[in-house]
Amino acid sequence: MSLKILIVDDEVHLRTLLHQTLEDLEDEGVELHVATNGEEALAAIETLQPNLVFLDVMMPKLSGFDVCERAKKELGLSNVYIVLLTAKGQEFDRQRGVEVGADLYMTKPFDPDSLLMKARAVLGI
Amino acid sequence: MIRNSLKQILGAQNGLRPVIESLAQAMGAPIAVEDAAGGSLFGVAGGGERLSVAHEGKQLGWVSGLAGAEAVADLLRFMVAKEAERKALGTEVLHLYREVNLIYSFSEKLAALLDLERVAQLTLQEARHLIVATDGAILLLDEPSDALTSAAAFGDELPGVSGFARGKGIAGTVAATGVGEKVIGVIVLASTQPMAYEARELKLLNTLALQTATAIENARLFERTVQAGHERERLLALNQEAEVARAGYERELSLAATIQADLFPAQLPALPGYDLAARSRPARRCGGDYYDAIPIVSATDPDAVLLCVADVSGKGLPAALLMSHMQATLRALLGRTASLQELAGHAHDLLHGSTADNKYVTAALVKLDPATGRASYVSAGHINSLVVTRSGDVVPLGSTGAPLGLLPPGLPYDTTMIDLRPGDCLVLCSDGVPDAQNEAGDEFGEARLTAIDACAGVAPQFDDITLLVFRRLASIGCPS
Repeated sequence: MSLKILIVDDEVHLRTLLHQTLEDLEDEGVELHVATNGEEALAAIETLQPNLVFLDVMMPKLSGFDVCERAKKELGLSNVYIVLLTAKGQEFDRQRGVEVGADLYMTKPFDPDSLLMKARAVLGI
Repeated sequence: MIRNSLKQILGAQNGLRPVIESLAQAMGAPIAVEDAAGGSLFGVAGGGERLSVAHEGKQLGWVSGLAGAEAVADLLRFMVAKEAERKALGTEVLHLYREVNLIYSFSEKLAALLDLERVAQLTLQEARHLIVATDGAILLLDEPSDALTSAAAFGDELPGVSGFARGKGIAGTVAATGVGEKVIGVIVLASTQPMAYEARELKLLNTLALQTATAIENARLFERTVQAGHERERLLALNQEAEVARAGYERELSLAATIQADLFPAQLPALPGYDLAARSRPARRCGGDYYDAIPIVSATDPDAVLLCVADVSGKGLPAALLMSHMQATLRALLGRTASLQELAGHAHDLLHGSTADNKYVTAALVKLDPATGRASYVSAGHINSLVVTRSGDVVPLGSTGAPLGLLPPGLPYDTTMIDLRPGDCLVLCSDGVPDAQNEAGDEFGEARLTAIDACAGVAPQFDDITLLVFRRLASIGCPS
């Protein structure tokens, strides 16, 4: 089964930039998937069971926190590594992040090099 | 390199696949798209012209079909070009993201540094991540001399180079024309390869320079604070040393004072027919004055008594020791010498032989025969003693020789003979008495010996004061 990364952001630019940053991994057989909101993300997590999710926190309706909590607790997908993406300078509720079971949080604008490095580390490639 | 592939354009999440499907349907002929290696991306190749899809000279794939292949190829070429544009923009934005993050982490790292050199090194290190350079330096301006000295540098050209100065060369011109509140130095980045630096890089370097300037000022402030702390510690240590020395001196003084106190006679000998009183008050805790009254027990003078007031040179422990020496000498010689002048001569020789050249004692010595009131008087360089007669006349008694121990041995001492009649008084004192001054500096003088404290008032006593007075009483069988 191939390695999968799910990119979740409601902003098209961010999705594009995250995708572009991670594209190099496609040559190494990693599948990149994209979701544009919380519901889509939750459905994709359930069906794809990705190894790694980059999940925006601030999304309408279903926030990143909600998606993470449901994936980890309701769907029981504790082995999906979830990175919450939060805007730099914006107050981030770390406690909430811990409570919903997120594995890591990174700030936007993200550093492309560390994002890619993190993805490789999580996927073990 | 920007990735660009037909596979992506025709990927599951891209809207182009259904467009080509409907195009093929409309044309009524199958269309096939292959990637550069000939792998099928869409449809099945069924003959017709095989058209290339390339971008900037790079073969991306092929389109083939009996009809409509040209239109699909054009569409794919257009999409490839659009995708390339989008990715170029994306790359540019990601580059900016990288810069923003570098500047963020630079600020965080800077905030943790308080050492000027490390601040400069970190700044150059971060600058090299952002801007291509083979050489670089941070030169700090020395205000009074206008010299620019290197705080950190890298590359082959700049390290070790000195002689930068405000107004000289490129760095010097930047230092001279710099904008902002205050120029503290110059940051230099250079390339030995031909290099066209752009405004973007200038802006970045400006950002770094502004941040590093603040950090350098902080580091300097910190250094000054640390130095002030060290100075305080040093002064504290000095203070403690002084305190230890003072305590040592204090111990010495108290030892000297103890020695001295033991030298004064605990009790004056009873002298029937005479009133005898003596008192010594050192200016400081340990003085250089001495008085004594010793009965001379000898075959020739069974009742005689030696009275003495002396002033030894110096103060403190050395003076106390010299005084002890003087007392031992007097007592040793007492009864072994025929006359007072002989005693003085011997004492002089002994003191001279056993003390340093600068040590000496002035002394007023009186040998009294109480029964007759006859006394011999020797003054070894001592200040005048006084005979105050019953009628109130004052007769000064001058020096009869040099101070004991000062000049070479073998000096002669003269003797003055005195006849104390009933009611007469003999006053021996140290120079602290006539020299006692009040706040205005007026001396007490010999004439006012009885009211020293009234004269001095609250002015500090500056020399030891010693007074030995004895009076022949009028009532003991003497004609008035």
